[in-house]
Amino acid sequence: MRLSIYLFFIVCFFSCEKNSESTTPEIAFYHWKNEINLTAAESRYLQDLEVQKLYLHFFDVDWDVDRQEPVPVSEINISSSNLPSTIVPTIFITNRTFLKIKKNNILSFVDNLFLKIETIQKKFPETHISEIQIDCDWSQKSKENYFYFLDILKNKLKIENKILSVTIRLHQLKYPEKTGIPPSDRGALMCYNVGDLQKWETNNSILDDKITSTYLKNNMQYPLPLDIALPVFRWGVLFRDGEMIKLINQLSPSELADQKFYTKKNTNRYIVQQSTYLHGHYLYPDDHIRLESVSPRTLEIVSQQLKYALPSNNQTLIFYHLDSLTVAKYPVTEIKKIQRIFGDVN
Amino acid sequence: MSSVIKIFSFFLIIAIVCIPNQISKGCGPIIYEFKGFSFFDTDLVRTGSPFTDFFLRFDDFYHSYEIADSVRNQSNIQEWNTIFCDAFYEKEIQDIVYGNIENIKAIQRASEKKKTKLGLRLNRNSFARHLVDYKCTETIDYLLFAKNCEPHVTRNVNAWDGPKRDPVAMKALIYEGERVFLKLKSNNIKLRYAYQLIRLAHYAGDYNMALDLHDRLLPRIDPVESILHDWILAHKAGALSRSGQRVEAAYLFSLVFDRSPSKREAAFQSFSIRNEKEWQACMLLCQSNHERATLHAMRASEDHSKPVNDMRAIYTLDPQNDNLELLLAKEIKKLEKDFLGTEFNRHRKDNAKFHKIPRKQATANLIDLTQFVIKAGKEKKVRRPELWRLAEGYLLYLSNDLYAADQVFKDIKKILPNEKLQEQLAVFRLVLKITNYQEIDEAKEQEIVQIIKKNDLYEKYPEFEKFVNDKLAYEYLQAGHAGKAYRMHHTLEAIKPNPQANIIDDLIEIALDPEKSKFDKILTTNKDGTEITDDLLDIKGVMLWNKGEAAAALETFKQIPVAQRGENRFNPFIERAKICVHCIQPDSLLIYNRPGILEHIFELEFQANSDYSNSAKYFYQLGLAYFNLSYFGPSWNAMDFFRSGNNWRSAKSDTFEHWYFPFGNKENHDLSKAKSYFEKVLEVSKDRERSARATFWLARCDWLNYVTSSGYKRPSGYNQLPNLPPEYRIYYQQLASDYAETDFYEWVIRECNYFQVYAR
Repeated sequence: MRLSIYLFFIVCFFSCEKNSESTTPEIAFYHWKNEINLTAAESRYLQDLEVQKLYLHFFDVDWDVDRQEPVPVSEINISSSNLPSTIVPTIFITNRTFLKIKKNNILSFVDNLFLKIETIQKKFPETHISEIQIDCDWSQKSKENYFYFLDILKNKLKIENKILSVTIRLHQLKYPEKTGIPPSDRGALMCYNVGDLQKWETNNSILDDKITSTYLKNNMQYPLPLDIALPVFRWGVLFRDGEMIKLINQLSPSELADQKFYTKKNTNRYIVQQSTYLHGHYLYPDDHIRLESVSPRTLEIVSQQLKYALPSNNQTLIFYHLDSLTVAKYPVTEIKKIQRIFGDVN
Repeated sequence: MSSVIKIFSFFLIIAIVCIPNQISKGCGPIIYEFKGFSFFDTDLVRTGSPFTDFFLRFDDFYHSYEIADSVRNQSNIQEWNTIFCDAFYEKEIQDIVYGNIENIKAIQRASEKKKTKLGLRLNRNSFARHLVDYKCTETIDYLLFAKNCEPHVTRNVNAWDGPKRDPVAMKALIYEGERVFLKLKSNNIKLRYAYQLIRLAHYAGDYNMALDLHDRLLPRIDPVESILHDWILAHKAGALSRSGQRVEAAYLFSLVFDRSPSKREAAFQSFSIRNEKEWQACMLLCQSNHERATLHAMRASEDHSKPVNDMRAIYTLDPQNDNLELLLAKEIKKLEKDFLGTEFNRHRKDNAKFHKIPRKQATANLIDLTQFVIKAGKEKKVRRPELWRLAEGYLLYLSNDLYAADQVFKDIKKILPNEKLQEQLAVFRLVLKITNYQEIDEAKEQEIVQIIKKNDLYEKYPEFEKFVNDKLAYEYLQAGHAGKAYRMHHTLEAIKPNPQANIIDDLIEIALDPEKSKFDKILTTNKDGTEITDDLLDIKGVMLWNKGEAAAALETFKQIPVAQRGENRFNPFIERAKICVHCIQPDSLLIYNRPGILEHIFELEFQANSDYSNSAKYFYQLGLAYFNLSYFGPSWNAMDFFRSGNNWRSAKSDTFEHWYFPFGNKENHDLSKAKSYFEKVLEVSKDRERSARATFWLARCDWLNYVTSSGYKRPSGYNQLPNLPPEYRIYYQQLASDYAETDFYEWVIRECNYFQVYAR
């Protein structure tokens, strides 16, 4: 009798534990560099955050003007073996690919893409692959081709017991009746690149809680289960003659501290005073640079907005993206804090 | 008269040629391209410099792999031919060098055994025969070796197949090649083996081996002239770059860029300087001012560059450098976009909106370049000072200093040494002349006509047509001649769907002027030589009618001679049970032309207001007429010239964009007049049947008003009726509640399935 009482409590304990676990989202990262070669610090970071899943950018697909067909570009180079147990091959496809391709060529496009993914994934024999993610910012004009493509790909993956996920932009979440619902198993809501990058006046195009608040309402209903993708990156936006001409990845304020070359206009805006090189780009006097990054505070605010907008179980919280600067700027405690915000809701 | 027709045809052609550019506005994705003028002929700087194609690619030149491959293959074939004293057709060499490996094997077999002969096709190839006859073993073995290397070092035909590189097989080939290399006699073949081995090591990712092979093999080759030296240098640069020796790599890439047309694009793409320190270090590696100038030229060639300072540096280091002229041409092309005719370019708003042209700093860039060009022209250290003086004049023109530009053009007329430069000068002077035209009067119009008819440059440079049309349109608009301005770009047909009063009135005034100039005659004359006056009055009449000024419209129609007032092809007074826009009506019933309809309308209005006992009947006819004259009725084309079947659901305004019509297509959706007459019927009619009918017409009008309103919500499913808001259902309900006993109501119940839904 005493044993059965113990057993009862043990079962209760574990079932309670399990429940609370299921409400906390899993942490994952995008890896978007051309070469995967995790540093010791990156591997430790992933371990500390108990990351089991890495969304690995396999390659891009773009429209080749000469060949008049979609072609893979920027294929990943693999040098690392210490990867998390699960990887999600992620493929970015340009919108113009679906604007240009003829519908009757989509089937062979899917075949090519599928074979390419299979070839690359063979290089990761130790890892588990149960999902493929497609990233495409489709438009009204490309929607039909893109959705047809997804439909075929989804059916093909189903045979192999894999699921298809797609990236969803905020405007696609807010206006599903206009933008359409992509035929996939899951979506990953991209909560970044929310502002107008091209405008000098924009304060932060990566993440701005005022902008996200206009897209998110409490308890939004979207027909696909959604994971959440949040930004942990920084860049400099270079303007010349009033035109946005380049993005300078992972640019930090310290690199613009030399007053001989740069004048700081306000918190995140700089004017080039004298010609110089910056990250391999030659700058001219009067070039403008806007530094953009995501503060932990903004991440927390947007996470709060998201947890009420899209309360869900079995969510994955994907951070874009993993590299040594992310490790340095966003400590484990900060990422866990974000995770807890989502966990609190249920 | 024939010249009048010729010139008129010219304007028409321009209008027609210009218009299709906008097709994408109406259908398909809108990709707005910059639209402006350019008179600087880049052929002026195409002086055989190997850099020309690279520098003059501008924004729209797509430099593909295929083009680079073809340049490389062509250079290689030419070099093979040179080795064999140009004894063969290049095609013969190409068939062997870039052909099937089996061909080379067959050549090898034939050269080894006397009895084995080449096949018929190969036997016709004199290069293949030569290799066999002279037993060119080293060449044949090399070609076979190169074929074996090919899969590891070239891109796959199928873009989806990854590189077929096998590092183990590649290393094996390197060892085999090196063994053969040591026994070779021909320095040309030695160089080719060295190239293959270094390339294999580079692509196998063994950069140290690539560098080691370079250092070991090249000293063993006696000097031979070959493009392969630069190809090898490119691989060395690549290997250095991958080994982290970035500065040395950048320097070597600059050498390749300078020397090798076939590797120029790739070398430019690979050239990378990360910071000022690397730039300085790279400069220190340079062996001559020419090499230093090349580094500046590469930096100046980056996208979005501001190259004037680099041009100054090139000028200081190596003033005769080919790249200076090319960079000058490239900058002038950019500045033309910013400044040439910007004031009157009719696409200026779209250029600013979609391309941010003129650029924000364009004026500063123009001043900067002009100052440098003046200095270079004056000091005469550059290769062709006269070209720089010509550029000086053109840049002054672009700066809007027309007087100074003219002075420079006059000064240099005698010093330009060749026809090409003289022609360019003449083009610039014509541009200047056209720009100078202001307050266009008859005399100036005649001058322009002479330019169009007699100036050879005008015909040779198609840009002048656009330039003149835009300039004149602008000047006419400034002078208050909206009609003349309009005619510089468009046909009369194009204004009919949405007539603009200022344009039509201006053209009518000109057309009716008995003392109009010859040029005005051209603008108001049809292609067949007839005047467009009647057409204009017809358009104006329709325009006034649509504005509700029926009396003024009738007056306008009456200014057209009776015989020209149009056929009797309308009858809006016939009632049809069903609304039907395109139903064919019998000719016998079509008894009105436009003024005829208006006269009958006035008659009905008079009778309605004087014959009180029958006024309901007349009001009903008037309501019916205005419904039939609207977009929704069969007589729509009496009050409109163009109707699109798509233009009615969810209309935000009555005017719809159209690629051919500059003011869009205005649809006559207005049913207010029809409704007001049907409402009057309800006020005065004692006939229940007529009242029922009028109520039903009112219900129809409300239904159409709703579905053409911006608030219209499309039903979610096919074959579903729109969900009519209550304020649009009033007359349906009124018909059901007030006229249920009428015969007409019975008919409605029987014929109109949707009625029950809305009458609820």
